[in-house]
Amino acid sequence: MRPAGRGPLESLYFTYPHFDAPGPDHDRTRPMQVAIIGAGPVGMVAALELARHGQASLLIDAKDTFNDGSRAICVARASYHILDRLGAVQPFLDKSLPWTTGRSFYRGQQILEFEMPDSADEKFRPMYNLQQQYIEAFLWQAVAREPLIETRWQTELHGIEITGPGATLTLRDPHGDYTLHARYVLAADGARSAVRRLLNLRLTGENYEGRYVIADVRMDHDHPTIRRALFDPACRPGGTVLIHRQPDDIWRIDYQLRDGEDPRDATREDRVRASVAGVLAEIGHRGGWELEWWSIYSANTLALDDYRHGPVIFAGDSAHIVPIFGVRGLNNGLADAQNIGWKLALVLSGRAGAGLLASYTPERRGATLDVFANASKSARFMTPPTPGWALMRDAALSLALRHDWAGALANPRQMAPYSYAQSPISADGAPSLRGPSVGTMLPDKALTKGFLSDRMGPLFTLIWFGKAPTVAHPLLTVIDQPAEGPLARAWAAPEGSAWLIRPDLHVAARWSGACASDILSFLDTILERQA
Amino acid sequence: MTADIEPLYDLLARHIDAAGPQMTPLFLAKVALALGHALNDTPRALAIVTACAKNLEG
Repeated sequence: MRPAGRGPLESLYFTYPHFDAPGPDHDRTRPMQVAIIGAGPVGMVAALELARHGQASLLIDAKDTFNDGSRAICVARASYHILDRLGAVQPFLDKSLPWTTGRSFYRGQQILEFEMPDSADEKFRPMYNLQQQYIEAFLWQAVAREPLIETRWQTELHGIEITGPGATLTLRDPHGDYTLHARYVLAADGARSAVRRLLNLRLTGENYEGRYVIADVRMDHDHPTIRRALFDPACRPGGTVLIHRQPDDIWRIDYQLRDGEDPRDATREDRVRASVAGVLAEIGHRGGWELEWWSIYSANTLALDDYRHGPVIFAGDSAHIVPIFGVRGLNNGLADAQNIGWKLALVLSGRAGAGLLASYTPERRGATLDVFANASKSARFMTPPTPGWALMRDAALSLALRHDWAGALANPRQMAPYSYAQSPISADGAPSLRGPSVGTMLPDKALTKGFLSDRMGPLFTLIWFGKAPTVAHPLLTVIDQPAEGPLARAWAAPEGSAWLIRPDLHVAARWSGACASDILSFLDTILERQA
Repeated sequence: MTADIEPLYDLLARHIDAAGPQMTPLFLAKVALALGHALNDTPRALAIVTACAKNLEG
């Protein structure tokens, strides 16, 4: 929502582009290998990942511009690695605000300062703040220059029928209705997914008590990029407030509504202005400010039981709704898109069997359930659901005024990337190795030139400690590292040990004293699994 | 009652009275968390809490 007198896309700092529908003579009905419904961040990353591996796709979006409002603003390190692999990270680095520190306050007094893990060995910082419009605009720059991606704006999905190997879509644009066949359909059409609705699929899970208003204001406010959480502040007794800095002097104020506060009432412009003014007074902002945009949300943990429905695959908010406290909504959506992107590209190009796709739901739904577990803890702290949780939260906060150990209970547990240890395509050939475990994301390392993550090949990469034997496979890049080198020391990796890294930088397998045939046979196993 | 628990018993009683009925739950919850932290033995702390939940019918 925006202040009275301003249109829904009239931003103080961002000019929304207008995208035309395909012209009347455009060849609309040509069958497609992959149709992606939704050209938001998840859909665009999926299209770019497919294109990176040589696979064409069609991106379809009902709107004629980007999503309105800043929405998701915290982009985690793992997502920057995804963007880096797509060759799209530079504009993000140029514009976004990196941060490592969070501070929590209870009744005006600081009770916790936490630092997210960071070091010179990491190519990217733990978190970056960037408005979603910029996320979409920067991804769109990459999509627009990619010849393998066709985008159709102002094109709405009206029907979907699963027909043999694939699905037939009924689409509507300003020139009329038409049908199009796609071998696979990626549903990246968000929380109110049309694909999900048309297939009669339902998200299951829980709704938490507690609603939050998020409001963006523009102001000249001198404070570093540090996430501030205010528990029980004077401006909202008993409530919680979050404050984030964004580029262009935009600040995100996120505040909890009181029990019984009517959401419609609370989102009236005068009420939002009064609430924001209270928060700004509390943090000592004396200057002027302008209201940019606001919205309301509640903390839900909802997911599809299976992210795949025949040829239709769900990614991002269409598959899962997570509470914002863990900043996993957009970040997990991008990881979904990358995960299905490389797998689908290998299957469609015949380089892997369709069975590879069976690993998508366990890996990515597993990541969602992990978010649910952490987010439930955060949500219980931020919005206690019962008197018992509220009493213990208040006890912890009250103790935290004098004791650091109690402040740790207020840590939001942000952004640990999920491990695919239990995935059907993970295998640990050497559990006694001390280096990165199977399923975890590759820990980065500064090397003499660049970072370890820069050395990874386009698909699978084998990191071999010592002199690598000849391991020839069309999907494999082999790099050897000196057995006494800095990476060997960091990972305590003995000579002859080897790590196999997936296209998404997760560890697929590791061996000590492996031979080439072990590695080739493992690759064949995961790539040629039959559906 | 052992001799060394008696000062704790007395002190808790005084602070409960000082806190008043409204703040007593918060006070006791803080005491429980702080004693649990000092005990530095989570399984034992959990067992003690579970045991304390018995016989609450008065």
